[in-house]
Amino acid sequence: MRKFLLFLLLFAGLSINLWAQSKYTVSGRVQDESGEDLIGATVYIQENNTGTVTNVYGFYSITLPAGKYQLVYSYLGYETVTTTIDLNKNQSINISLKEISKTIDEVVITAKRKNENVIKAEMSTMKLQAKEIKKIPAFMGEVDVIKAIQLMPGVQASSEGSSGFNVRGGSADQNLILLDEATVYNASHLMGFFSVFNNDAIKDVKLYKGDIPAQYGGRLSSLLDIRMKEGNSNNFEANGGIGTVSSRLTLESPIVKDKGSFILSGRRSYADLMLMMSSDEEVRKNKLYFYDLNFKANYKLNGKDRFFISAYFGRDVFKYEDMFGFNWGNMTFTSRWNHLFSEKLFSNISVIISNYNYELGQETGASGFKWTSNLFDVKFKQDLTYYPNTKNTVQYGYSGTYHHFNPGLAKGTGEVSMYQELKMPESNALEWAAYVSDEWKPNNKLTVNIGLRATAFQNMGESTVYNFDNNYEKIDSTVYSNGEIYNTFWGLEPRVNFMYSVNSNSSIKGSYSRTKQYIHLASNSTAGSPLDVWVPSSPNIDPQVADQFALGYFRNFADDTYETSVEVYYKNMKNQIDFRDHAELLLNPEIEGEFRSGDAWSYGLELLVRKQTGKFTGWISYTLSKTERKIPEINQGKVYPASYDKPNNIAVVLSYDISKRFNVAANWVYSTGAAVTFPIGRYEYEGMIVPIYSDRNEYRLPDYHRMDLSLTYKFGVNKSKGLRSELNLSVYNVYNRKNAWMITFIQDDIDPNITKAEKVYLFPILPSLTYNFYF
Amino acid sequence: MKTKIYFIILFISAWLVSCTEEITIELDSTFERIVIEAEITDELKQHQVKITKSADYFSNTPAPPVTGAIVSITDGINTYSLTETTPGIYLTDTIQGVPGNTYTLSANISGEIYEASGYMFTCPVMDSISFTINEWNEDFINVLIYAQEPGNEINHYAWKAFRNNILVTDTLREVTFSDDVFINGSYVNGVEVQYIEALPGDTIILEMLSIEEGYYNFMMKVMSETDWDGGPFDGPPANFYGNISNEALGFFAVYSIQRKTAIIPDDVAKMEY
Repeated sequence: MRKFLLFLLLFAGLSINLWAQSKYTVSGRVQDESGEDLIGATVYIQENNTGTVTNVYGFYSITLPAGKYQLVYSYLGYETVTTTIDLNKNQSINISLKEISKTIDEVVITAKRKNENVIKAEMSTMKLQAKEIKKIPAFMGEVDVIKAIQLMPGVQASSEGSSGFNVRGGSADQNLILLDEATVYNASHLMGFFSVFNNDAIKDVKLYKGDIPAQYGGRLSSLLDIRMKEGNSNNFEANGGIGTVSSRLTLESPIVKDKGSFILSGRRSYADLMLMMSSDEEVRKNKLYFYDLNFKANYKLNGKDRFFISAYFGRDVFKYEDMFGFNWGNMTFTSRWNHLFSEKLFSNISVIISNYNYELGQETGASGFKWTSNLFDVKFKQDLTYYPNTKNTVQYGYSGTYHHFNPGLAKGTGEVSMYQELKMPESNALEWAAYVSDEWKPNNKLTVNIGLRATAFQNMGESTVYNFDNNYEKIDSTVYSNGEIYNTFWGLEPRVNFMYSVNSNSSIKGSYSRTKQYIHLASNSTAGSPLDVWVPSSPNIDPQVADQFALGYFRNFADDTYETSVEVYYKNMKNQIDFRDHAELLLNPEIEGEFRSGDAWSYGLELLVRKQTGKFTGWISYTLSKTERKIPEINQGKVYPASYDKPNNIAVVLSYDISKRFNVAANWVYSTGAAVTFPIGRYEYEGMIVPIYSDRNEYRLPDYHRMDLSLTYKFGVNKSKGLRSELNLSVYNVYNRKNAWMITFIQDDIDPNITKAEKVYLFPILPSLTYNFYF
Repeated sequence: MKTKIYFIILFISAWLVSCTEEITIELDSTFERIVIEAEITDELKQHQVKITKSADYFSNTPAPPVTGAIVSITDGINTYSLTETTPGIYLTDTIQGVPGNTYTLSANISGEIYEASGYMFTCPVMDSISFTINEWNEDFINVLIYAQEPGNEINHYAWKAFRNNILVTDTLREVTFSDDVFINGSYVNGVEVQYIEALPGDTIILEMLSIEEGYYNFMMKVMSETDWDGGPFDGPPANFYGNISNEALGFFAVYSIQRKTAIIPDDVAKMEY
């Protein structure tokens, strides 16, 4: 590892010597008027037809031969700024871009760099700004980034209403969800009907379905990179909303004008407040709500150093009379230090904490008990970007993470408890990574990005490890002392992509990536539940590995108005996790004995047409895919489709600005029904009719489709100050389709000889009203 | 405690799910399997073995009986032959099982042999039972037990109940069973073990069964594939076998029984927390 880092430093040093002579660097930040960093803004050099994009902190750097240049700064939805520079020394240029809708009366074609999606080397990604997400009709009026992600090609909702999603045949635990770089282990509120992300606190979100940058790792299938807003650094700003499910309030303010700012955002649902109005005292004791708080602050010490702190805290609380209570939630904390070693070398150091825990219990009595579980991470990482010249951008860095797993402890709480303590062994692990990647543009036609990530995972005591025989029966256990490293996995993860520009509006892209995953979610449900626990790789569980190949053709039409892409992928996954039949995953100290592993593979075709500018915006996506698994102990070793294998998927997401005040939006989704196992026979035992099942996932639920609509009316659109507001009406499931959430087979109450199938569906047509305000 | 947690999870799932609708589904057929439902206990009575066949899922008729089988149960020394009294129902003479013995069932069905065996554990004696009103449904009465757990490794039990001499737990969904209600060696001081629809003044007989772990697991599987199916929050469904050879379905249950009788008092109280 040390040698590897040394190599990186040498590599960086070498490039400086080679290129530093007759060239100068222009660098700086691109922000919007309120001081928000613009991620992925384009800086284009007209003279030699090259350019760069800002990194996640809004920083850019370009090194050019001395001379006069026109620099064009652009970002979707913002006015383009062109500056002329005479480059005879290193220069720092910070640019602030104006949002278009704020400056021009009529909604006009929005500027962005021409054919940006075509000429960027990356593929299999999709980025959404918070304001785009807001335009999508929201379930119960709750604007939700995860629900927006589920409308992208190659992405499927795990089940209706769920916050789980499956990317290119990956299971729901194979998504790395980062909120300001901190891992969010459970993104669900209220059993998944809402995600934990409050859209008001979010700047933008980017999903990587493959071709994950070497900087990121730890999950097999995708990276969902969610960035929080920095807060207005010029003026105090407040916005909020009152909705059917929850109310929100966000405050933004400068700390020191132009030097620092903060944002504080909170949200709470209030279904339980309705219960309080009940005349029944018992009912008033019921609780069912969630809340979350987002906080972020940043401060610019000088031109070279900038500090950030981000925090998230959210919880769900469920209480049924005095019988039992249940609460769960995530906490994340990120502190970051951006430092410019030079105009060409950008560094960020982060210290990140993540925690997920839950508590379930009944408080009193001999039958009282408390069940707790938590997962805690601390991570240190440094990421560096080196801009040696216009042809290369080098990224390198390293990270170390300490994981603590406390998967479950349940014990009686009464003085004379009738329960024995149930404890799953606690464990610890260290996860290491180092990476380097170079984006190389040998000429205007070709961009190649070559990256390598090296990772290691070490199990560390204090822990008890059960040893199993070939039949997964426990033989004995080994106790490891505090701090003792008793098992190490490591691996290399190459990441490569290329972009070949066919002409100015079309390109071909390809990528290969290997990803490894060292921690796994012990959940055999399709919907996911807050009780699911994460289990580390260990002597009993091998890390998951995936190799993904993707090829795409990107072409824009009508002068960049319509973006289209076709991508095909093949993903091969090893050591995929499933569980033995009738697995016991709750509070089972020997949970590792329930794991079964095997192979999975997925391939597919994804089509996308997207229009991001003008009055009429949105996208249409179609996905054709197949995902199968083969695990020796499951389904008698025969290949079976994954439950989330839904071969046909269509999403239509449209928004139209009728006028400055009035917006109408609609979406329609269609997918093949999920693969399920149905009974094909039955027998009787002690008055029960017991089903005999088909092969695993041999049947399908009926096809799923649904349409949602929303209407938004804005007040005070001509004001630039003071109260502005909007009223939004969203209708979920407009044509009231009773989509099957599951199909159950039950015995008739009256005649026990009769069995019947019942469809369970979740949401009928559901209108909701939301009022949002800004001042 | 785990059983209780399962119920809480089922309860939460039920909160979320409200709309259901009967639908028609086309299902394939599968081959017929032999199903044996057999038991021997330490009661003095005619013990029953029921042999049926599996059927199509939507067959909607009683399970087809298997007639003409040659059925016997042996404890290694004595062999008891069973007589078919009604189609598919085979009975022993009036006999009594003895705890500590291992019993083996054998059934010859058209030349195919199906076998199973089980050990009869001794059931601990209950000192007494008492009642409280069920906290979830006031029409139901909880039955609580007081007993000394013997302190050995056997800890799988099931409970059945009679209301005014009628067995009210006559299907598996009403039988309760547990693997962790007793702390080895300690005194069980009033733990709910059954829930039945009853009124003050009713005479209740509680039956405690000391069962094998295999039978406990089998009942858990039957329940998890039928009434306790938690839908998407549960694992995928799967087929399972009992303890009978030759891929027959069902179970040969061997257990001993203890009983306690009491009348539900007029002042039966609600469960206190």
